Amino acid sequence: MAAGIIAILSGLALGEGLSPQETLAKAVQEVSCLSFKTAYPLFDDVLKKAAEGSDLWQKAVFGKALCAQQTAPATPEAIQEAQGLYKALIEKAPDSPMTPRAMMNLGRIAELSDYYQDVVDLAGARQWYEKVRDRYADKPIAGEAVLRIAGTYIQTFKKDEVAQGIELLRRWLAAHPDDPLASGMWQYLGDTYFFPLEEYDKCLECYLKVDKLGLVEKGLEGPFYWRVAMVADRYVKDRDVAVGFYAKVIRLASSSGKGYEAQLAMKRLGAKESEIPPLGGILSGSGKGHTPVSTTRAAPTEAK
Amino acid sequence: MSQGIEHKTGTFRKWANLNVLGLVLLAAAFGVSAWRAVLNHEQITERPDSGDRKIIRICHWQLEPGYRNAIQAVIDQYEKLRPDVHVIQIPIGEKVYVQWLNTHMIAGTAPDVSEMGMGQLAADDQYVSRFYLPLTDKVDSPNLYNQGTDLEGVPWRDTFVDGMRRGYLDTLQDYYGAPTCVHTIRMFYNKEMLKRATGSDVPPRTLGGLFTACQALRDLGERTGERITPIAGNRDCLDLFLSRYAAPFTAGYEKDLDLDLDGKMTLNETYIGFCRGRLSLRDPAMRAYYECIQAISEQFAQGFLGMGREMSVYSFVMGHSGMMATGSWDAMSLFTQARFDVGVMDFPLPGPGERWHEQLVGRRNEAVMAGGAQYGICKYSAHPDVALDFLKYMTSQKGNELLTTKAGLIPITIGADLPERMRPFMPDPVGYVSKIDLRYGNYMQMRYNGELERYMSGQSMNYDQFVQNVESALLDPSGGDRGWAIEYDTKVRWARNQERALATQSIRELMDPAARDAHDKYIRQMLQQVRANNGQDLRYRFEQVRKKMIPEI
Repeated sequence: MAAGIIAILSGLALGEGLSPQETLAKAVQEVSCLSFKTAYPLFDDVLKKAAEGSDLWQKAVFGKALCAQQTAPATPEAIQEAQGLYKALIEKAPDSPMTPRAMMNLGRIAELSDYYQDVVDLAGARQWYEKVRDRYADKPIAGEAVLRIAGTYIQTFKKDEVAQGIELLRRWLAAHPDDPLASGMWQYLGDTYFFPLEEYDKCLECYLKVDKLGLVEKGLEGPFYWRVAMVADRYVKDRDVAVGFYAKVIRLASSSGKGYEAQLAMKRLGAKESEIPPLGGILSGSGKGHTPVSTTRAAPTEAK
Repeated sequence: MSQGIEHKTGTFRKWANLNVLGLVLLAAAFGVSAWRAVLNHEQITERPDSGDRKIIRICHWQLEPGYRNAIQAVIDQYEKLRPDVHVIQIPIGEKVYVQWLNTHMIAGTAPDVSEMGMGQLAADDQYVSRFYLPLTDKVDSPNLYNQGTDLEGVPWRDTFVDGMRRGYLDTLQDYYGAPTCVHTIRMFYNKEMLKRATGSDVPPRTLGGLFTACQALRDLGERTGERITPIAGNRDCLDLFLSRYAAPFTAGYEKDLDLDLDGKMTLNETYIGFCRGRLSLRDPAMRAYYECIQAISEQFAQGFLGMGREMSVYSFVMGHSGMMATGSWDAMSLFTQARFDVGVMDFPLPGPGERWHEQLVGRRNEAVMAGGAQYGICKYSAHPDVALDFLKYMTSQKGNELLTTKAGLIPITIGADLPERMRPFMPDPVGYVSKIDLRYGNYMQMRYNGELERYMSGQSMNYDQFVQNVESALLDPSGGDRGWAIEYDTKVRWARNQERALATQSIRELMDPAARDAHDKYIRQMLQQVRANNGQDLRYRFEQVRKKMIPEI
């Protein structure tokens, strides 16, 4: 009886009694919760029932490969299995919407160390990304592939390779100024000019483009504005840009904690100080009897 | 007859002994306990909804005085607005909250709304995504309970002081919780005792004034025979002082140490500064910082390092200490439990002409706030829309004002009025935020904490010995270099783990037509990962600074 109950429960867990589409949906749901281990047998179940090359098969083989790749802890066997499944998808369904992502994932496997003593293969990763860039040149994923190729050069921190990565991104951006990843690419370029290259003029040029296009990582404006202001102030000596970004720190990123220091910097640069906006109105004296905070008083507290 | 009586008395005596009495009491206690358990169980699991009213439940671990009444006041107001809803509050003790919530989460009987942050299922990304409802698609719409206020039409997210940042999980790229208050740290003082000691209940405005007041409190104790400790200190309290005074003394290092210009000094940047000779514990600012804290800790009771928070609170509310440092979360407890008037003051800094004033950079600012008492909605709630509606009411200007006024907390909703008594806790955006921290890696953390405790306790160690021990620990192969190697390893692993989050979004984008947010989330996470260069920046910089290969761990 116990064996029966276990069998029923195992069956339910494996999605028995569900149609392949329902099992697939359940597997996707499990992956959404980062439960790759639970999703793996579900994708496997769908794969067994799907006709080779069908839409269902493509999804199942991709899903199973992805779960094999991502189940923790990663093992050489699981990674090999993932590689085999991705390659099968690329070979048997070259036009599948999953295929470019499968190729990118093969690049990711090469680029990252998945398990103990797994060797990073940047050249191998680059080959997969290049295939995606060349084969899907008119698709948005091409931009991602270019970013990844550049990354394989830049992360070596070797002067020549970093230059190659930069050249690649610059060429791509010149040809595709409206790429959906343009802002991110300019930011990556700016970061690289900042470190390791320490070419601050170019760094600032890239960051200004990011600001124009809009920062991708919303909510992290504070450190970005502060860095731009500091680069302009300390290295490029561009007073106007520095003042503009210090003002942004004060007005748009007041919870970054750098508002007061931005005020001091503006004062030093002879600019009209911006008022630090009240902390969410709690301090605002918003008509409810609060005492407005003086933002121009001396730094040390009551002591000075 | 008399024999019969004797027999009855004998029988009575035979049964009426202490063992039987104990047994009866045990049975009664068991009965009451079982009855309470059944009642509680019914309260937790009561379904279906009673009559026309939908029932939702909210659980939390905030058992401080006033909080339960505050939540109940919010519930009462909400039920007036929504007579079709009944909200049941389930307060659970901190010690069992984790087990209790985990059990109910797994059993599918978890309350509709629960406080997040404690326990694996309410904190780890993998479980949060499984058990909590993402709020991302809700945070951009206005909170309708703000109609008629200056927040009308403002997206829900932007009505929070911290932009709801605390409720956002970077790994999952989703909002899962709504915080309900913010916290600041202050010093509390016994007004009456201070007046008896110094002749005035006006708190000291400078550090020198604080020490003078502490001496006056000691003198008062000696004069009257009362047992008075100037400041009720404990291990946590020492950390509060250390944290509070770090930026005022060490923020000045930022211009030399903040290599990536993000406005902070990381552990890695601090260690690099140390290796390059730009930071030394012998610097006047560092010496001033530690000596200042050591002088403050001399105002604590002997053996304070062995004391817990409860002992400090007890010492303060019983009138055995003149002052104590803690957060706004304790304010209501102290206000209500103390039999004297409790004053609140900021941490005083050295004034002009006082010792350490020359080494001072400025005050610490409180702009970097993260919300507290955060609530999320259970994914398997029978009424997720009602749970969301209640959460929106609780974080509306009126609802949040009601909650925080009753609970004695600082509101998180923009424009919510601050209770008069809580005004001294208002976060101040003026001042500095960067600070030095030397605890780079596990070994340094252990060594530094040990040396610090010895130095602060005033036992067998002067400042020069402290410096020598900490600096030699930093230069030990297990010290800074190993801390660096651990950070490198962690960042490499982070890049690999980020791959899992990306995989999730890519499969949602490809296979779930309803997942319209998947692409944007993928892009954000992918850019974060690319810009991190798989952690290789840390390896490269190590080779530059230390002129050798980064050690393996």
